[in-house]
Amino acid sequence: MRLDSVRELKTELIGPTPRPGGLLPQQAPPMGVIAQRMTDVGNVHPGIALGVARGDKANDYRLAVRIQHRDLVEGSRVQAIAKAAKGEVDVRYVGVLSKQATAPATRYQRRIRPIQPGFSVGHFAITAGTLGAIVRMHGGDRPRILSNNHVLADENNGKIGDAILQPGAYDGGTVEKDKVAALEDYVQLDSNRANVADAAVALIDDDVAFKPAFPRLGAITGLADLEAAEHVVKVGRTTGFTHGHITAIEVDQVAVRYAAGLLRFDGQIEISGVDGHPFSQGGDSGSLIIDSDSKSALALLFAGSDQGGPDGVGVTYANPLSVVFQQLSIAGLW
Amino acid sequence: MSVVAAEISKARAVKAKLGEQLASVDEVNGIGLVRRDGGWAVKVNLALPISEPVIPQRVDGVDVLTDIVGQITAQ
Repeated sequence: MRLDSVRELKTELIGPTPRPGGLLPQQAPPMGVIAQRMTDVGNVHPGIALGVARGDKANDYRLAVRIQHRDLVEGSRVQAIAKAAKGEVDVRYVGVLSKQATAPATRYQRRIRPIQPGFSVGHFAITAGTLGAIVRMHGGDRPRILSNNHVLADENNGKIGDAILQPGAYDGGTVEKDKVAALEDYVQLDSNRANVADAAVALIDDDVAFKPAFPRLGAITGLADLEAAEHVVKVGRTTGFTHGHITAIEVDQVAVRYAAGLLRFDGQIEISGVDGHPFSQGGDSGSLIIDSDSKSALALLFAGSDQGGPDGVGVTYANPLSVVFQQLSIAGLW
Repeated sequence: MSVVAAEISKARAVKAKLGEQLASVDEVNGIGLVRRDGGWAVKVNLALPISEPVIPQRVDGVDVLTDIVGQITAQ
């Protein structure tokens, strides 16, 4: 579909006089937001948000339908939207924050100086993800931000030197006031082979103060032993400080949905939450996962599902940090 | 079925073997190693339930667990 056609349809569906099956514009409750292009996120409705998503080819676009409640996915409203778009839709269930999750997590979506791990961050063109850690490069003497490619480099679309905002744009960050770093390097996401890491680094601007310690955890040093680690924690932009445990390691053939399509990952770590709470949600991408026992770094969070795991509330996937460090020539945490 | 605590090297070998066997099964969305009773087992993740028992419960003495994790999305 052409971009102007998608925009026209979107306006028609959410306008003040909706067609049958259309939606009334109302304020939506807070929602977990996937770290993705801001242009993919449109106006929101109770449980359903509409926007513009890229299609399979150049200059091909889809109507993005983002759904907060699982029972709406197969519902008549979504079907009506799909029919209106002649099937050219990109429908995704993104979930919704519970009231309990919203209160403590909000603190990590705000502007913070000095910048610190666990808080909202993102390439200027995306929504928001999480600042994973402050790291030191081999042969480098200046601090870098570590997070995901899809958070700092917009799924390979970012250019070296692009502005990185804290907070991310979805949380109110602007290039004029909130630039804290410049994209420096990333691991290319590849649709033709198995990926091992979704990671990127950004050089922190000289005039931006930083604090490498983690909220609630303090200083984290060294890398954890993957085979020995069981209990983990993370601090992320959306769900804040959460506990989890490792449910699998060395996971191959993992298909992960990105804006650009499905990508395969090998050698990943799987984590589930505890006490019926998910370990992560959209916007937590880029969080550093830490071994609770040794207080050392273990992995870089990048994806998740909303089902599976011991409690059935979903599992989280993360890249082994040793692989991330090797791929990006990172010497260690700052 | 009695519980078997396998060494991680044995579980890795079974993971590789099972991974090849299940390569054409569309519902499979990940195969990894899981800690189990002091040893290791193989975990097969599924995007959707499989109607037929195509996933064995044990291979070469190593337990095989399954979990329906659904669709995985970049967060």
